[in-house]
Order: sequence, then structure tokens, then C-alpha cells
Amino acid sequence: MKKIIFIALIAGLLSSCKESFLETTPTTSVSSSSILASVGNAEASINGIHRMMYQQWESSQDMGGYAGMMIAMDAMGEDLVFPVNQYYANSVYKWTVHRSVNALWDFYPYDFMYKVINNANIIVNGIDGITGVQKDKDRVKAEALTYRAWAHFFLVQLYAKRYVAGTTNSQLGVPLMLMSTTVPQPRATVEEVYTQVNKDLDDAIILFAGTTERANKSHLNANVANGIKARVLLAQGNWTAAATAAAAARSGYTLMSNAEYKAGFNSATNPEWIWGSIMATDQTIYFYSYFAFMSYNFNASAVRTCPKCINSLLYAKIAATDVRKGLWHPTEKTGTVKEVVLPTTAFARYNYMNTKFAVVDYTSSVGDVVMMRAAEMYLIEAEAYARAGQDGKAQDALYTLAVNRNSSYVKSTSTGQTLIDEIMVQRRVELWGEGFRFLDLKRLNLPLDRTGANHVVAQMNLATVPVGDKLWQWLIPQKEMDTNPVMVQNEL
Amino acid sequence: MRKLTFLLTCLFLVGVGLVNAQSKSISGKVLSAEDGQPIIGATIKVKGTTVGAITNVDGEFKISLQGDAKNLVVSYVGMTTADVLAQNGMTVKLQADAKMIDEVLVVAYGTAKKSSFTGSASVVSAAKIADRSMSNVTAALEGSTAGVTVSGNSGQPGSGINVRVRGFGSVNASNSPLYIVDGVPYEGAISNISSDDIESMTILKDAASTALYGAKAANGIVVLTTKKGKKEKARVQFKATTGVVSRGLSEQSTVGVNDYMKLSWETLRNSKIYPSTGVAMTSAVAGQWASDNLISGALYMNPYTVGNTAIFSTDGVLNSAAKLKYGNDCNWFDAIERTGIRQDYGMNISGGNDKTQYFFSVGYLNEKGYVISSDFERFNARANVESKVTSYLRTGISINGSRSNSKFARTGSDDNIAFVNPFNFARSMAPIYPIYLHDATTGDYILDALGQKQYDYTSNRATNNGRHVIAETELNNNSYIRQALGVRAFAEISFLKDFKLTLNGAGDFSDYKESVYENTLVGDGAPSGRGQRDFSDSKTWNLNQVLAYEKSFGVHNFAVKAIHESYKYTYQDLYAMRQGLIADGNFELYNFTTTNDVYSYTSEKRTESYLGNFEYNFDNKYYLSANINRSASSKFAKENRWGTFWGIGASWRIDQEKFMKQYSFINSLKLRSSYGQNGNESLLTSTGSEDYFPYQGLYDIQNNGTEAGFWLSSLENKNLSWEKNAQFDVAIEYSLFSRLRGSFEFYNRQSTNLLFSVPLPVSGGVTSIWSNIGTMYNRGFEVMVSVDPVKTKDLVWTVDLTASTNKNEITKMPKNNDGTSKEIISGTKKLSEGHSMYDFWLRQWYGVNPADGSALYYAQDKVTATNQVIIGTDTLTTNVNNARYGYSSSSLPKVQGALTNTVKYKRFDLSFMFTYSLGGKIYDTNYQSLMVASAYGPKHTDILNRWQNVGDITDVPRMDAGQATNFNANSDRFLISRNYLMFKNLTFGYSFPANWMRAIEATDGRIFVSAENLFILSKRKGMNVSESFAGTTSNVYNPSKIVSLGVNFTF
Repeated sequence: MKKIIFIALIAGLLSSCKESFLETTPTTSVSSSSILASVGNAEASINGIHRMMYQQWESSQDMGGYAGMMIAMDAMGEDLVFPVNQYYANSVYKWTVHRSVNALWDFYPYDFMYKVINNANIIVNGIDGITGVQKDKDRVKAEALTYRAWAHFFLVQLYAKRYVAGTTNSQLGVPLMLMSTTVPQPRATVEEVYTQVNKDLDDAIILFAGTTERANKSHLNANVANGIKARVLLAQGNWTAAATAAAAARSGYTLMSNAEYKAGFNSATNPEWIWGSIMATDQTIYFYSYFAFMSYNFNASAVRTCPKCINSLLYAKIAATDVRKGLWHPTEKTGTVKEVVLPTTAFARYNYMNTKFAVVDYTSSVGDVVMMRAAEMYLIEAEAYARAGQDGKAQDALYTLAVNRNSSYVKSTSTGQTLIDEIMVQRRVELWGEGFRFLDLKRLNLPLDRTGANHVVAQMNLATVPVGDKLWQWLIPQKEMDTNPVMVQNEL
Repeated sequence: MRKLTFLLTCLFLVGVGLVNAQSKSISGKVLSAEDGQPIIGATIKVKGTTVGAITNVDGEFKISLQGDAKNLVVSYVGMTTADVLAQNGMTVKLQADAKMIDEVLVVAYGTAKKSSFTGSASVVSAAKIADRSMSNVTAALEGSTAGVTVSGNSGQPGSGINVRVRGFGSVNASNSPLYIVDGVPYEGAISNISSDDIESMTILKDAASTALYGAKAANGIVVLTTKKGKKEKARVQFKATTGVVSRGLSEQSTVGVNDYMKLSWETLRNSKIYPSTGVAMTSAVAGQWASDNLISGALYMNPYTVGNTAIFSTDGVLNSAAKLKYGNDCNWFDAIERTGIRQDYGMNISGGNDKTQYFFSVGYLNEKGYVISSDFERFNARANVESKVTSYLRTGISINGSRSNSKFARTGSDDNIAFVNPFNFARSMAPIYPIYLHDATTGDYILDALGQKQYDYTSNRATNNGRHVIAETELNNNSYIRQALGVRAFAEISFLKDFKLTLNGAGDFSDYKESVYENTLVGDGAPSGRGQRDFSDSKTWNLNQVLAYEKSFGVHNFAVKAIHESYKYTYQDLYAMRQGLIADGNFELYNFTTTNDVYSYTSEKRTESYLGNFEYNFDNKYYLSANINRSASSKFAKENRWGTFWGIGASWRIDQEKFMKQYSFINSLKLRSSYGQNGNESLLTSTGSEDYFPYQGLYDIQNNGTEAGFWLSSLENKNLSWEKNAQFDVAIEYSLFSRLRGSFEFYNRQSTNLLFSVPLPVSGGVTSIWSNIGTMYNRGFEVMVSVDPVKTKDLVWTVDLTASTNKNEITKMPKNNDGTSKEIISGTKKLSEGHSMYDFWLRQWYGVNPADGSALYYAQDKVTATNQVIIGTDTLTTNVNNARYGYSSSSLPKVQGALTNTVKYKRFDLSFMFTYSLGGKIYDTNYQSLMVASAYGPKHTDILNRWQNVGDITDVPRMDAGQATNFNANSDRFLISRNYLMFKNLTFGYSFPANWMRAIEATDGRIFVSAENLFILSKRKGMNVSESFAGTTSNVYNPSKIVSLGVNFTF
């Protein structure tokens, strides 16, 4: 009997556990303390930012990484037409959600860009303390700096008043986050934000020099940093510097052929692409994909029921011999000949629908997303030189691009505003759907004017927005207002 | 060993001796004094010996009397024990125990008598569960007990409900009680357990009684105990029920086609009369514009036989020639609903003797819900065996298994606004969109080559374009299979007379296999088809050792326990998705061409606890209990992993006092009180799933192509530790005049170190961090009254009433950098000091401007003059972004409870329960979306009161497509009273007479009808008042009404 009791007691006591019993770790994450443990881990955390560009965000299908914002930037312009009510990004097209402080769309770019900045800051401020090959550290740091600049630049364009060249730009910008911190930060002035963005890009360009070439175009390099710098300087009206940066950005990249132009804009192997997201087939983001909205042949509701169309007035300005004339189909709905081959009969046809964007395989929304290409740099050069009064250089830059798209193109002899107008038409046509038009209107202080075109009146809500209207400023999201006591809201 | 041999030899010799002794056989009968019916299973013992017998079906017994034994002791549960002189052919009549039957409560690590229990507990017995049509036994908790509230009563077969005990102790951690099944924490689906196997459900509410599970029991405990065999002859029970399942809550009332068309026309016209920018049109021009654009620009389908632009005149008069083209084909709710059937069969065998008792059961349940493609089927089996193996060793094994398979409607919170959610889809289909394809001119059905009608998912519509919930539900597959295996084993060793060591081991294993197929014709899977598999496996191990000491010294009774417990939970998941269906009809992943996604992961949590418990009573009059508990959880960092909790309780059985003997009307009277602390570690992510690694700073693995990648997802907080919950409780329990029973109770729960997901500035790049900040209290009264207004031989009528109140208030919030307290806005609520966590925080609605029908909100203080309207002394705004936020009452009711009537008349029994709720508000999102000022979706009949002409006084703004966001924005306009009365349950039964039963050698037989969710009365028809504690409505599977007919027999 005693034996039994003894054994039982031992059994009872032995089952007490070691402290390690209570240590558990997740299998889907890595510890934040290991990020600065090696250059490899630091680099992986930059790869994470590349991946953020094509990720499902906020459980809302029109928020598929940066691509979702690209669509929004065009939806808020006049060149992209939604022929019918469609889900999701529709409210952006109507110009309502960016002025609603609780709307997810008002929050999403803000949240996304500051997540990019925070991840970049941890690397920018921590990489110097890691032991490793200096060249590798420089490349990682340069990528982080470029992302930080890019994200601040995007934020200040949306959530602040436009940059006005030749003034002090003391209007409120956005918080300038240069460290990873949870302490609330006030809004810096627009000038301060632009100054820092330029500094980060300059630092990055210096660091990129001498580093090894990137693995693929989803990574950043000196070309990308220069391309972003060109965009920044263009927004600042710093014309000649913008042209210089644009030329540096396209160095090493050639314009695509007409055949490649019609291949659907879905592959980073295109020689013209400088920067783009590269998606693996098993990293699909399904209906969050750029192609689930912008392509003509993926079976998403937003494509099937609402193919994206071009503004009929803009379309009329494209020369008949231009390769781009064939990317839109002006009589696809009403005409007897149907030019577009669609996967099923359930797909709707509309006049002026596009075939610019296509998925490789109509059963999958996977495709690479272009975020910067050489054509844009030629257009920046042309616009910057024209606005700087250097018409000859502007004509040259424009010619290189335009003749590639239209072999019958005759070099422009226009000057002054006429030349600028010609360049801007080329820019609108060339970059249609790639996320520029709202930003262009705002930077150039142009009104929104959707009238006279094929926009459906009952559908678009707003046909015109005058320059200087408060509607051009996105509102600071309520979640930031609630958590940041030093935050100031834009004019309601 | 030598001792044992000796013992056995002795026993043998004694046995031989007994056989040889003189004996005399006595036979007799035991009847109920009340109704003269035989009592089956009464125990007869020869006084002073261990010789015993049990009465049979007719109440008869036979027993042998040895030597000079003269008296028999006859006992039966619920009856007073009789000590009678043994006589052959005797009849013993047992009286019902006038005092309350002393219920045995199953509590932490043991049982307790209700009379001596110092804590607050209520029991739902098997009898209350038996006849009800529930695929999840916790549904019986609704209305059972004061202080227990439920929500989320869903019609999805096999789904559960949410239970809260005494309010809400936590903001961002779980508020669900801990479920204990047969002595150990249970993480599995409750619907794996057949309600026929449940002996009792005990709800432990106060801190003293839950403290022994202190590591996790901050939110109360629901203890489920399964049936065990009794020391009686073998019994077999059969049960069969069949029922009809239909909708338990109607839809909200919506307008018909003509009204809908007129409203849509008006929404277009008004958008031109009141444009947000640009020049206004005159009414006539705008009317013409609306008539021209109604179909082409807004609705896309014309339900009438007249031309698209000829439906309305410029002043909005419907063309008299307009006839409906396909008016009988637009009811989407009719199309998604059906009459469901529920079948439930069970059988069990139980019995035992003094040494060994057993219970075996099998069951089959099949419930088809009232929405197409929603059903649940379950097979279950259970074996419970206990045996006293030797004089010092008692052991038991319990094994149970179940397999459930279900097709489910996509009505979960993830699918609230999904096209595949039948409720969402049908609720957003205006009455002009047909289910089948029709000829646009004639309205005739367009038939396919086989002459069949075809679903219409190709026509353009204003909502749900290109989708078709009926086609998709029929062609897709959403199903799961869940298999669960549970094992419990214990060994109880008694030693040194007063000591007991119990070793408990338990394992719960379950796998869940979800399969999804999305078809090639319509919906997310089209055109190539998609298949998904999500297989998960969960495993819970629980080991505990209890060392107990019990001793009485005269009137002093002591009991001490020391307990060690360790717990480990592992969850593994494997997910894959492929697309490109190859051969029709085969939905296995093998039959697809391309892989979209494959991943797997593992999560774990572990806890360890040491507990001590001390109980003392003096003369069964004064009771004292105390406990201490030290627990650790893997959810916290090493430095802050361990928490210490304690509790004390006392009770005084006043009725046991001598001076009380004069008050013979008092059957029992008890005063009790307790105070104690518990912990909570169940942190939840923003989507409501469990956060297993909350203290760790983590980067999520997200590769860029084939390159390793990760980005920051959470910040580290090593200081994170247990949320503490301290509760004080005082109560009086009484039983008077043998017909009035009840309790009156007060509790005060104080939650400190709240596990708070503290929002951070969005500009910091991480939107929240876990911290132990904040305090909150829940306090309230609970009343339970039970009366027997009639108590005669033939008729017994019992009325049970429960009522409880809860006041919830946050008293301390996290601090901002400047020292002020944070105010956290989340959805329709704001968390701030001095308010409940369920206080609505909404834009303040003023009304409708009679001048132009625009929505008016109270303006913020610092507001620009734009969109400003001044009416009297009120500064108002027409722009909702300028509208002021304010607190607008709470979703929490003031009083909640239930009223149950039980009537027994001869062989008939009738029981019906109402639940009620008074006070509090509902934010009715479903109503809000029916009130939108654009042509989007169907319209509530209330919208007929909209503003139409200058000077109209109304609270519904004008129809205006351009202002829909503004006019229909979230505001306190959509709050409505939460008061309701629900006819929850009704049971009517008839027990067959004993002589009928004797004919088939059965002991018992019964036929009954039972009904669940008969009706709901609330302020607005069709509102799902008990959907959520937060008082919001969404597109969930509305409750179902189940009417069943059942029989059961016992042999």
C-alpha cells in the first residue's frame, strides 16, 4: 500500500513542467529582434516592402497593394471611364470617399504608405550597426531610403495642398517620419516634406553607385531612385533638374516595340520597364489584382460588367496610325463588328473599352504590374524642357517616344503652350491607367472636366471640379485624428 | 501485497459465512405517496448491513433478511428516506422531500451540495434539455439563469451561440465563458456533443467558485457533465424526434415594384434639382432627364411593358400603359428558402452495480435548414465507465467520438457583404430583377435547348451585377466534415484514511476539413472553376493531479486540496487552392490545372497552474472556503508569465439555526458571499480569432517571388501579462412554504490591467499594440423566483422568473502622451472613461430640412460656414463630415430575463418559455441599407414618408442619388429600441400509462411536441434583436423556427 502511495505521489509531482514548456513561437512570422541580426534579414525586410506592393489589404478587393492606388489615381481623373456602376473603386471615381474621414479608401493610402515608411526606417536607422559587406549594406539602405522618399511623396500629394513653385510652401504637409516611433508627430510643411524627399533620394542615388545590380525589376536601383526624383522635381516645377533626373532614370532602358505594346502590360521582361511588381503564380491576390480591374479578359465582376474605357475626347486625339489607337475600341458595344475576343458571353462590351491591359492566362489574375517605365521618363523630359522654354530639347525627347508609337509621326515644330499641350496629350494617352492623371491635374493646377465625353452622367456623380477647390485635398483619416493629438485636419 | 491477500481471504470467508447464516425472504412494493404510482429504482437496504435491492418496473422488490435484522431503509432521489419494519408483502409509501432537493453541483475538481456551496451556480438539468430541438446544447442556456445572456442565435444548422456571464469583463480579450467538459477545459465545438448525453450544465458565476480554474475563468464557467451509469439494473432508452424547420424571423417590410420605380425616378430627378456642384435644373427639365436616364443610367432593366424612357412623365406619373413583364419572378427570398426537416435519434444503455457503472450511447442527427444548401448531420457515440477496482482505487474512462458533416450557407462575418451570402444578396435585390432570364420585350421566359428556364446572371442590374446567389449556391459546394475524439481517464487512490490522490488525463482531438468548390459558370470561380481545401487539426492535452484531504473533528469539517495542472493546445492548418477544372463533376484538387495557393502553419498555447483550496464548515451551518492559484501562460513573456489569483467565500445556512426551527414555513435559507480574482489571457485579433503570440514583436513572412521577405506586423511588449478580474458577490437563497424558491444576488466585477489593443498613430506604421491598461466594472442584480401556484395530486403548475441587470462602465483608459485619457473609436462605439464599452458613439442626427429635404446633422463646434444651416438656436450642417459625434445611449439592456411556465396535469405536461429584454438600443444596419436615398437596392416601406415637397415635415430625407452617402451616413438616426419579447420554446408532452408500458415491458414512454423560436415581438418587424451584444445587425443566418414531434421509451 505504501509503495502505491509513494509511486502515485511521485507521478503527481513529476508532471510539473519545465519553464521551456511555456515558450511558444509562431510559424508564420519571425521575431522583430532578428531583423537587424544580419544583412540578409535586413534585405528580406526590404523584400517584404516589395511584396507589400501586391498584397491584399484592408479586406477590400480594390486595395491590392500599390496597384489599387494607381487605379484610384486614374479613376479620379477624366481619362478613365467607368461605363457602368461597378463595385469597390467606384466610390473613388465618384470623388466621395477621399472626402469621408471614416471611409476605408481615405485611410488606405495613408496607412499603407506609413507602413512602408516604418519598415524602411527600421533599416535606414539600423543597417549601419550590422556587420556585413559594405556594398550589400549600402544597397539595402539605398532601397530603404528610396521607399521612404517615394511614400512621403505620395502622401504629400494626396493629403496636402499642392506644391506651388516659387512660394514658401508653408501649407501643412504630412508627418515626416524619419524614425520608427509610436510618438505622435505633427504635420510638417509641404516644403519640409519635399526637402526631405529630395535628400533621401540624393542619399540613395549616391549609395546605389557601386552596388551590384539588382536581382530583378521588383527591386529598386539608381534608375528607380532617379525616376522618382524626376517625378518629385516635376511636381516642384524644377524643370531642368527634372529632365536630367529623367534621363538618368531611363539610361539603359529602351522603348518597347509595337508588338510588345499590344502584349497586355503584364510582364516585367518588357525592355521599357524600369520598376514593377513581379508576381509568382502561387502568389495570386485573386480579385485584389490590378488585372481584376484594369484588364479586359479576367473574369472579375469589375472587369466582366465594367470594362474600363478611355475618354472619347482623348481617344479622338490619337492618330490613326498610332499603335495606341488599337488599344481601345470605340464601337465595341454599338458597332456590328466586335473586335475584342472575350473569354465568355457574360462579359459586357462598351464603346471605348480597353485591351491595353490583359492577363496572361484568362483564368488567373496574376500579372506583373508596371510602376515605372522609360516612356514616362521621355515624357517628363519633354514636358520639363517645354515648360522650361527649351523647346528644341522638348521636341527631341517627345519625338523619340512618339515615333516609336507611330512610325508616321512627324517631329513636332510647335513651341510654347502648343508644344506643352501636345506633350500632355501624349502623356495622357501613353500612361492611361497607370496611375498618374489625378496627380497630374493637381500638380499642374488643372480643373477636373469630364464633360462632353463618354462618362455616364448618372454614374460619375461629379463632372467638374474647379482648381483650388478643397476637394483636391484628401482628408486626414479619422483613425489618425483619433490617435494623434497633434494632427490637424484639412478644410472639411 | 500480503495484506491484500489477507483481505481477500477474509472477504471470502465472510461471504461463505453469510451464505450459511439464517435468512428470510421479504418482498414488497414501493409507491409514491403523492400519486400512488410505483417508484422504479428505489433503493432498499437492510438496516445495519450492506445488503440491498432495487425496485423493478412495478416498484416491487425482494430482499433477504439475515439473522436478527428487522428494519429496511428505503430511499429514492427527491423523496424522504423511510425506515420501516420489514414485512412480507409490505407496501412502502415515500413522501416527496418537502425541502428542496439538495442538488449536487459539479464544480471545479469535484462536486458540491448546493446547500453547502459558497459560490453562485445554476444548473440546467437533463430534463430541461431532453425535449428541445438543439444541435448545440448551449442553446439551453438562454433564459435558464439570471446573469447569463446570449446572442448570435443563428439558423445555420449546427452553429452555436455566444454566451456571456455577468456582463463583459474585457475589451479586446475574449468575454466567452470557459467550457469544461467532464472535468477539463474544452476547446472543441460544443455541437460535437449530443445534447442527449448531457446530464447537467452548471454555470459558475462568482469568483470563488471559478477561481480554481482561475487561469482562464474570468468570464465564468459552463460545466458540462455527461451521463454516467447508476447503481441500478440495466436500462435502455430510445428517443426519436422529427421536426419541421422554417424561418423564425421575417424580413423587414419593403415597397413593391411601382413604389420602387417611382422612388428611383425621384432619386435621379432630385440629384439634378439639388446638384452638389454646377447649375441646378428646373423640376421639369430634371424630371425629363430622370425619365430619360432611369433605365439606361441607373436601373439597367425595365420591368414594364413600356419603353425605357416612357415609364414616367416629366412630373413622375407612371405611364398608365405600364404593365409588369415578369412580376412573379422577382422574390429572391422565396427562391433561397425551403422547408427544412430535422431528425434526431438516440439510444443509450446504462446500469451498474456497487462496483462498476456504465453508460453507452449512440446518436444520429440530421437537420436541414430553411435556406437551400444548409444542413448538418452528426453521428456520435459515447462510453462512460467507472469502477471501484479495489478498496482504495477507483478509476474511470470516458471515450466519445463524433463525426459531423455539413453544407453551409455563406453567412459568416467574413461573408457579410459577399455575393454568395444568400441574405445579403436577396436583401439587396430590388423587386424589378428577375431570377430567370426573360425576353426584354415580351417578358417571356427564355428557355434553353432543353426547354428549361435559365438563371439570369447576364442582364445588367444596379446591384449584384453578373452574380446569382441561387445559381451559385446550387452549383458551388461549401461543406465541412468534422471528426472529434475525446478521451478522459482518471485514477483515484484513497490512502491514509482521509487522503485521496486523483490523477486526471484528458485529450481532445478533432479535425476539420472544409471543402469549397466554385463553379465555372457564374461567380468567383468562373470561368475556370476553383477548388479549395482547408484542413485543420487541433489537439488538447490536459493533465492534472489533485491531492485531497478531508477530515471531520466533531462539528468541524475540513477539506483541503492541492492541485497541479498543465495544458497544451496545438492547432495545425493546411490550406490549398487550385483552379482550372479539368473534368466536370470531380471537385478534388487533383482535377484542377493550376495551383493558386498552398500553405500550412502551426500554433500552440500552453498553460500551467498550481492551485490550493481550503474548505471548512462548522456543524453544516457556517461554511468557509479559500483558494489560491498561481498560473502561467505561454502568451506572456518569461518575465511576466506567472499570475497569482485568490478567492474566499463564506455561507451561513440560517435555516439550520435552532432559533429558526419555530418558522416552519422556511424550508431553507442561506446567506452567502464571496470575493476573488481570476485571470484572462484570451487575447483576440481584430477579426476575433485567438492571438497566440501577443507579446512578441513579429514580422509576417511574405516572400517576394522566390526571395525571402517579411514585414513588421506587431510590436513587442514584454510587460504584457494577465488581465485581472476581481469579483464580489453576495446572495440570499431561500425556499418557503414548500412552494416558493429563489435567490436574490448582487455582484460587482472589477476588471483591471485590461488587455487592451491600444491604437497608435497611423503615421507610426503600426496601428496598435497590446498593453495591460484600463479598468472596467460590471455590476448588477440577479433575481430568480420559482413558484408553484398550484400543487395538487393531479396538477402541478410552476412558474420560473429570472431577471438580471448589468451596468458596464470603463473607469480607466490608456493615457495619451499629454496625460489625457485615450478615447478609442471602433465602429459605432467609443471607448472612454465613464461609459460602457457598448455605448454608441455616432454622428448626431437632427432631422430633415423642410426647405429642401436635406439631411441635417448637429454641426461640430469648430465648423466652417460651408454647408451650415441654422435653425433656431441649433447650428446644423448638411455635410456629414462636419457633423458632431456624440454618445447616443447603449446597446446593453437594462433588464433581461425569462419567464417559464411548467404545468403537469396527470399524464400531460406543458412547458413554455419567454425571454425578454428591456432597455438599450439597436443600430439597425439592415434597415439603414433599405433607407438609402439612391436607387441602390430595395427600399423599406418607411421611405414612403420621404420629403417630397418644400415644407414637408418628415424624418426621411429626399431621394437623391448624389447625396446618398451624406443622407444615409451612420448616425443616431438608425438607433431603435432593443426591447423584445421572444417566445423561445414550448413543449407539450404526454406520458403513457404504466399498464400500457408493461404490455411492452417498458418502464417509461412519452410522446411530445416541442417548438423553438415561435415568435419575436420587437419595435421593428424583422429586426434581429439578439444578433449581437453590440446591438448591430448584419446579414447573418436569421434564427429558425423548429417544430418537432418526438417519442421516447425506456426499458
